[in-house]
Amino acid sequence: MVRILVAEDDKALNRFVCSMLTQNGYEAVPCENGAEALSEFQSKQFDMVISDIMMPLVDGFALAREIRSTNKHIPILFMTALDDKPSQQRGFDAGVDDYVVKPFDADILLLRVRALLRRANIEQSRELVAGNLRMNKDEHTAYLNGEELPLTVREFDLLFQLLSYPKRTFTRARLMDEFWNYDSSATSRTVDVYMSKLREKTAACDGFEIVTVHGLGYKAVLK
Amino acid sequence: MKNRTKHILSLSGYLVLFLTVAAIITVAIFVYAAAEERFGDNKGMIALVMLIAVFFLALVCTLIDGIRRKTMIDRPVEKILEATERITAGDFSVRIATDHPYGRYNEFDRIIEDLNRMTAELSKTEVLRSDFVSNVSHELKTPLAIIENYSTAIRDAEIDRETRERYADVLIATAKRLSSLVTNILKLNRLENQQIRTEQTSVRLDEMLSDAILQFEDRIEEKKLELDCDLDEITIVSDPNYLEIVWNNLISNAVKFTDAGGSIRVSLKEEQGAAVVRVSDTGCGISKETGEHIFDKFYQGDTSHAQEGNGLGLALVKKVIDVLGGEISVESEVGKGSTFLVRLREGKRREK
Repeated sequence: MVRILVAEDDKALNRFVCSMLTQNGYEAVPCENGAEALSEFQSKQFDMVISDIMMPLVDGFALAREIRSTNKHIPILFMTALDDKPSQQRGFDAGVDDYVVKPFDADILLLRVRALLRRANIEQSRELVAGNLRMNKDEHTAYLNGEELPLTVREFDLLFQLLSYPKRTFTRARLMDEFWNYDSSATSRTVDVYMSKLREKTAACDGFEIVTVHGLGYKAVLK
Repeated sequence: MKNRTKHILSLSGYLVLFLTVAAIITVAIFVYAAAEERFGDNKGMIALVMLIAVFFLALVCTLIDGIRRKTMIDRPVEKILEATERITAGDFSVRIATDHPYGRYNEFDRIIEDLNRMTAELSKTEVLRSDFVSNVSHELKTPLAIIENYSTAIRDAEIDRETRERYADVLIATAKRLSSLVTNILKLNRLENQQIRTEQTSVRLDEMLSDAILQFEDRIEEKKLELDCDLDEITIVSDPNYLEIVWNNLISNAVKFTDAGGSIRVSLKEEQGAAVVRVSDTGCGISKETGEHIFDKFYQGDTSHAQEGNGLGLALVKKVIDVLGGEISVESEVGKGSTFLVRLREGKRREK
């Protein structure tokens, strides 16, 4: 069973999140402050941490840093009222994977939890499976029905990124920043060209579809 | 900006000095001639007379310089000091008159003009904040009262299932209204802590809009809304923190008021030297009467809470756009949807 540590000092909210997780088949361990969360974390095995930022004794930032110093891969999700860029930046610097901003929808929290667990799974096995496509991060190779699918390094990276975050839209600018670095000859048209090539090459894949979000960018939708 | 460098050799300065020296020498020559006539060969007496003459001439020059200083420097400095003291005390209504309306434009006038511009900006932001906060404290209490009353009613075992569900819906809607209100207060408060006047930086509007839209991706997905964006690459000079409030409110309203299966369209175009953003939805629309007042809840203080609350978001948006020097308008038809149009000047980066 997937075990999730929930650190939140507001008892009502903590109870709500825990019961929602339990109802959806996860095992939730509630903690009321960062210090308690830390000792709990050290005594048991966890698959994920959900934490508030502003908590007594040890705050979310410190908790995230502490956890990251011993465990590089466990997904950490902040649920916080701090939605400003500097706080988010601080969180990401401390090793947090994702955010939900209070007040949040229960469904959205659950969606994020699932997405994070999926990503952590990919990260750990270094392998991603979507229908009949299997991608191996270490070898940088993709297999379609067991046969190697020829992809360039950049095509592989793009596809891997999209499939690691299904349903999340990446803007052209974002993709260019990440995969073309400061290659000045690249324009947003370049991204379009790559995407249409990727679509052609993955036409026989049955597990996902690359969707154009009109005027914004691209996302992968799992079938 | 006026030319800042002062010439080392200025014509007026030279003329003043020339005339002064010429006058001193002329007077000295006359005094010398008079003294020579009077005392003949007595060089000691002539020297004494000359000394006294120089003494008086120096005194006169010092006096003239003192008067000049008094009018040209001390007076404006005093005025500026008085104004800065009032600004420090929180009075942003201070405006100073410039001293030299005709031609002679010096550094003090420049300082005064800058001070005037600064206080004007400060009072705009200050009005935005204080108006909002005073309206908000009232708006906060109403939803709190609703939550308290309805949840008390729900605990009552007597009511039937249908009523209970209706009450729960009211509670959810009220909580959402409260949350958007609080979001806006926090955003505004953050601005206050950040800096006193609006920051001017280059902003890639299209990237900013994409990021703002993607923040609502989960909800757009959840409601199965069709999203259509047409964003040209446009860079303007403005304050990204303020702009964020605008996009956040407009897009969240579009998402909120559009029924499942509807569509949202966001476009960014350059029109007549201005950046124009259109946020359209196929939501419930706004009636003509509401449309006329949709931005001025601040002044009107609408107390009918039956209306779907937008948490004062649009009133805040309007105010923010005023501060940034733009325009906002809305076109809407009940049942068909609304289009909000924001026009922002592209602006130039202030030269350093």
